[in-house]
Amino acid sequence: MKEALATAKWLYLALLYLFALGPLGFIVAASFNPATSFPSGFEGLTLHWYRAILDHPEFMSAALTSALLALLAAVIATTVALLAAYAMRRGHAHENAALSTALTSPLLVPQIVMSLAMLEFAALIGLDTSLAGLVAIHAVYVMPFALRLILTGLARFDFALEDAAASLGAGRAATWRHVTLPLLRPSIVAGFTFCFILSFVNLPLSLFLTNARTATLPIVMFAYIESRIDPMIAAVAAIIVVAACATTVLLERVLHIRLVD
Amino acid sequence: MTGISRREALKVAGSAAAGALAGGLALPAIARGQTLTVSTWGGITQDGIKAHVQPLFEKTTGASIAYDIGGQGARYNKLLAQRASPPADVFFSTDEAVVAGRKAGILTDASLKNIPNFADVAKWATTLKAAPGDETVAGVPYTLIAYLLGYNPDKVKDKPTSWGDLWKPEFKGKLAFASPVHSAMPALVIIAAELAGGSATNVDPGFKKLAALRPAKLTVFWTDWAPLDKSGDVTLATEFDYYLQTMEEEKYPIAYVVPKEKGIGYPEYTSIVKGTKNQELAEAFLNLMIDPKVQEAFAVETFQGPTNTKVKLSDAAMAKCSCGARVEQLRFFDPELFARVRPAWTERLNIEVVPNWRAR
Amino acid sequence: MTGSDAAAAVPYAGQPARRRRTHWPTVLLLTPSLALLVVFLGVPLIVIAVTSLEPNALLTFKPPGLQNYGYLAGHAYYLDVVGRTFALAADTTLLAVPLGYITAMLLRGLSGGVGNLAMIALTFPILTGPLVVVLGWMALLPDGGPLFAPLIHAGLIAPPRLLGTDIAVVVSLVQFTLPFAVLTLYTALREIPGNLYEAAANLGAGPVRGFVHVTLPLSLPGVLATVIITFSLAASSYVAPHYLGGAAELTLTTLIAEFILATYNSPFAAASAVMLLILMIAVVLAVTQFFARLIRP
Repeated sequence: MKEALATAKWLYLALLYLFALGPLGFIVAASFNPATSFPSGFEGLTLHWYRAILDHPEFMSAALTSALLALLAAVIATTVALLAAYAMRRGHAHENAALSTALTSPLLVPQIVMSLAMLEFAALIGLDTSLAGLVAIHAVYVMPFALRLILTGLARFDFALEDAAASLGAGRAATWRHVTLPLLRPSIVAGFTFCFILSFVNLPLSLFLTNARTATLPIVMFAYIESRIDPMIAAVAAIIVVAACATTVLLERVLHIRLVD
Repeated sequence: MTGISRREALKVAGSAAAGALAGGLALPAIARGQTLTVSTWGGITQDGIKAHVQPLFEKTTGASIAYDIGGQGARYNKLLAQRASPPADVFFSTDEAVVAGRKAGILTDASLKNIPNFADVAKWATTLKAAPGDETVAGVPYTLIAYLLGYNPDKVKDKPTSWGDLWKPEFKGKLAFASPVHSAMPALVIIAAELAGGSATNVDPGFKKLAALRPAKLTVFWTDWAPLDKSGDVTLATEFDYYLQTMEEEKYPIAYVVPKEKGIGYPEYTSIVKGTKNQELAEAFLNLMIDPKVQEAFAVETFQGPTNTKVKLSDAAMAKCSCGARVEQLRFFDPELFARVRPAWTERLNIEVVPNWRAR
Repeated sequence: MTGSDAAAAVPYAGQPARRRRTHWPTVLLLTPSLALLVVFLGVPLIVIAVTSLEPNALLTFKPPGLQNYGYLAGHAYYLDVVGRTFALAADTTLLAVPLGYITAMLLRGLSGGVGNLAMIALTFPILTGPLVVVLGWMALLPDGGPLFAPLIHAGLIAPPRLLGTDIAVVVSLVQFTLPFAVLTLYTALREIPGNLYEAAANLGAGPVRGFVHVTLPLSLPGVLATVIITFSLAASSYVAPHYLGGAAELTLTTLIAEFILATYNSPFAAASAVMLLILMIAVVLAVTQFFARLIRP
């Protein structure tokens, strides 16, 4: 019985990961296939599509723009979400339906419309749509994800611990640093990860807000795929995965930050 | 954050941010001197400009080129919203969008005195009437592409010859057809109307006839349906010739024909954004887009037909793009008409036609 | 009304409510998020609301007016689009949440290093963006594709004709939202103290009863958060319905994209957006209410 249960468990995980990662694996495999049409049977191994990226420096600069954008948006979003979630729990403001719906509302507005409205607003007040505008709208959009996660993390947070620290003479900053933040770290890390990813891959929010200097990776990828469907896009995807792995290892080794503790 | 030295963390984060800043912002940054910002499609078109126009442009003008890439609709909306300080100098689009853009006040005239190559442009390509006065134009048609029928020769025994073949039972549920928002849609409505006994001024039969189609996939770009051609799920498609030729080169199972009622000819335009601070540079760019050498390269590499009559292509290259004899097999529609009817016709398609397509 | 609200009502809540003084003024801590919302969401929303009252290429009237809304609500075609959007989002949620729940439970049993790797691997498909993954489905799902062609050839199945149906869209949406569901639920589940299970076991509860009486109720706030996240991600998705949906299967997001990108009809796009926003708020409120009742019998 126990063995059957263990087998079922591994079988379930195997099938789930196959479902989750299969299509991506298929694409990554295509990035090493010399065939020009998509999809194709294997015709050998090549790095041609990786070299092809070198002829498209706009992909590299767009990837860096996207990474910077996602980093800034995620930092801002996670920070304000942390403060808000803390205040809502500690001050019992989480029972305020209007407040909580308002803080969730960016999730509910169609992003392509937000992008256009933001552009019109920026034009109205004579603001240049620069990286700052992109960061702001991305931060607003991803903030609810961090908020939801941190609120979940705070659901059973024991505020008495803070009082205990305070009664032992710790200042507010020290209490936050040594008590509150470490306890909330898993949900903060998860929230930050959500925010970063959602900003990094977002197309519709950026649709009208990028210019010749701030094209993001999704914008460049979509523009490319309108006229080409060769495996170079697959090669770009493979590189993103490798970069994500490297970042994960780096975070774990250097900063001891894990998505899962 | 137990176990982390905060200074260490800051150092890592700081250098990462600095690196991203240097890479993300400095790489695409506008270089010294003047820069012409070109609003165009990514992929084939941007690659063509980068390879063949940009070097010439930089040599002759000393200015550089920056690209704002994206679909025509997104780029058009950017111009609309940012009229006060336009985000681009030159705009790539269909002739219909030039009509709409001029009406909306976001595109402007180009002075012919800076575009000497325009004298060599074929008359059939200038679907846009010249701007007021003989000295200016509304933009230059830099290529001719054609909307045709593509089919999978492995699956289709009798090759299609007519637009009417779209309604053949064998293609029911095996058809990739233009989305209601496709630039070719008004032309397809008129063609369907004509097949059903109507005309450009009597389009009701056209909408009825279109409702009888059974497409499996609605397309805007060839990449929307290319994998389905390969798998055999789509056997007939309406598509631009240069995309079909690209598919052939990339070894998709595809062949294409110009329907006997004639294909749909589309000159693609490049025009100047109203309010640009680089009017003369923009005109120099337009002139290069219709330069015989540039057009030859576009025709050979991307199968987009030349509009400059001085372009000499090999027979092999001629067979792969809209030029020479194929031009005679194409119809040219009035972009003014398209711009005028598009909103209402798209709505009719959505409400009267598309719901019928759901039945497979 | 939030997940933590629901949590506060759970018998084991860790601490009695409303006991301590407010350390830092709640308002001060809420200011950054609310300021961000007002400036970068509120103002664009006003722009959208005003735009939605304007005449356009299809309707002429003296602004401001509600004619655009009347038009959209008066056509079965548009109501269909609304219905389809919400049906797709609901189907996705109903599949992704249980799948994600089981996965999160199983991943919780893995040790740190392996668990971390397993979780990171789940984020790969979302990191590369929906476009790349959808391309994968476009290659895998056709009848002539590598999944079904051999089976059809061998006479094992009839051609399933998945591509171009809502099923294909839901499959892709479940795959896209699953990592978010797993991560959210994992975070919620790890908040449940392990000694509660021991206590339940000591009281003679088997694993099933332990789950029903301990794990499930305590994880409900996380489930609520997951439902809201999954539903909104699915309802606002653009890529999957565009590439995998059928010939006539528009959703509100693809419809809005058409209004903006193809016919430059921003008043219609704005009116559709406002409709979507109102309906989404209604759904979120209803779901939250439902969970609150579940937790507070």
